[in-house]
Amino acid sequence: MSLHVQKPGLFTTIQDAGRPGHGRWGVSPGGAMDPLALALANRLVGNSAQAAALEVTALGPELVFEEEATFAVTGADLSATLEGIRLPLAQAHRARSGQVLKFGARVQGARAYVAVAGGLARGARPFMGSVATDIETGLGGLSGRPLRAGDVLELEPQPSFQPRTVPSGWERWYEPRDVVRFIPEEGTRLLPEALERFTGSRFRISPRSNRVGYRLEGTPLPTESTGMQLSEPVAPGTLQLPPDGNPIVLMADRQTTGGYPRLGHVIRADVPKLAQLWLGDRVSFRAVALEEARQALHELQSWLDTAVV
Amino acid sequence: MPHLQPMGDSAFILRFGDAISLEIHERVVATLRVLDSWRERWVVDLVPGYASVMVHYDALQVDPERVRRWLEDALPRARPEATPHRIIEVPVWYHPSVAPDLEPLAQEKGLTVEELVRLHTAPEYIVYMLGFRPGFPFLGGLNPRLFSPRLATPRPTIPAGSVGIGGQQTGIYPLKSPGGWRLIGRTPWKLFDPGVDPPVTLGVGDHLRFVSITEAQFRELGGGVQ
Repeated sequence: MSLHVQKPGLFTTIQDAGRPGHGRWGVSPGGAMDPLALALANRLVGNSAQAAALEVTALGPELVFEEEATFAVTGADLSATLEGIRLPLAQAHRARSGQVLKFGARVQGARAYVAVAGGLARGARPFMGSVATDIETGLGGLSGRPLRAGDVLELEPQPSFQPRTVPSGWERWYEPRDVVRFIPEEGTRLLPEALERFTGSRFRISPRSNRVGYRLEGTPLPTESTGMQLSEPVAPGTLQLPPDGNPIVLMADRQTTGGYPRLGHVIRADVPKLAQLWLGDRVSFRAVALEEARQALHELQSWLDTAVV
Repeated sequence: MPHLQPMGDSAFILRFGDAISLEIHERVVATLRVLDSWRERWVVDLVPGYASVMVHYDALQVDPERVRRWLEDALPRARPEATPHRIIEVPVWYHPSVAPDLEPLAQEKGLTVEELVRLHTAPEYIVYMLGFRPGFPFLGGLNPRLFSPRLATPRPTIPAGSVGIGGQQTGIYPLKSPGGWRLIGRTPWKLFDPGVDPPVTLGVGDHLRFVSITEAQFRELGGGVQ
């Protein structure tokens, strides 16, 4: 039972829900950039929401199913086809032995997730309880690297196929695509106008962005801050302001600590949306209170709990 | 009591001050121990910094007020004065063949290599924090005579075990990684091994000394020269 990698795509990695809980050792949580799309893909094929899947970035791979298998593609629309037939997103499909899953033009979003019933990471090496690929340390996944042509992904024996779909409406968690909510940092050392200018600006996702963090390009913000900032632990979605005035938003493979002053933190419910922004996409940030952030997260989770039928 | 502040919708930070100091560090370590022993199922992670502890919680399982109450109950029980620490002797081979900056740095400082090694092996350092890469210790206690600016252009790859100086800090690269610190030696020890529990040789709160070893000892302890 295996999935054969004919072409690896731009940057395709094995990712699961990551390895949170080891920050004191300097271990990044890692895992899927878009946890919602990962959970959906897994649910569609009957896996646990945290199981390992492929994270496909912008330009997808060519994969040959060596056996019959149930799979699903979620997240970005990268024109996935099976034997040339366009596949709807967020739906379970059955591939027969020898069939080829390909991707084409990037229509919307940045990262697609391919989950296979039973999982596809038998041959991957876990560390700290997760097989998520960590490029920075070269650990997890397939020796900590993206897929290469010729790689073979071991599949679990396929359970019988029960087609599942997601009722329409999964897109709403990504809309509006160009506005991301964040909670401003209380008592930030930055000048108040840095925050005002931040919320009033539109940014472009810089080409120097990756799974560690996105650099935001726009009119540089004022960076004077009061007092020295010691390195301290960072949270998911932390928005840092380095001396050049171009904010950085920390993503899945972030380091565990950072020394730049902070503007605030992207809310957890909007992390999937952020993960689907691609290089050059425009984005602005809207300040919200903790209560709105909590409500958004609970709504998202209750939808996910009942979404897949 | 430390200053308690939310950081987004899934974390709080406890701040104990604004300086790198032994007294603050001991409060950080004592707090971490109390929170570990009082840990609730919704605590996702507890991460220490130089003068802070971050508490990551699962916002789907618990509301922030409950987290705040838990912290306010636990914090007064931290006992810095009763927090023991280990002293670990870390073997280092100080030699130009594994440390490209050793001789140039000694020259810059007007020291012989032997004098530089003496200055680097004299103090008892403290592991204030791990970060940058798994197992990378940020150490306090470097002799000010050895303070050195980082390289203008970081090296793309530094071998695992490299011992370096960056600004007012000294540290050890646990894994092959890029880095801009000035390299003065190499340890044969593996500082990060995900297959071992805990995965790090040096943890926050440990004290350490560097011990100068010979090439023969370095190889005997499993050191390799790349």
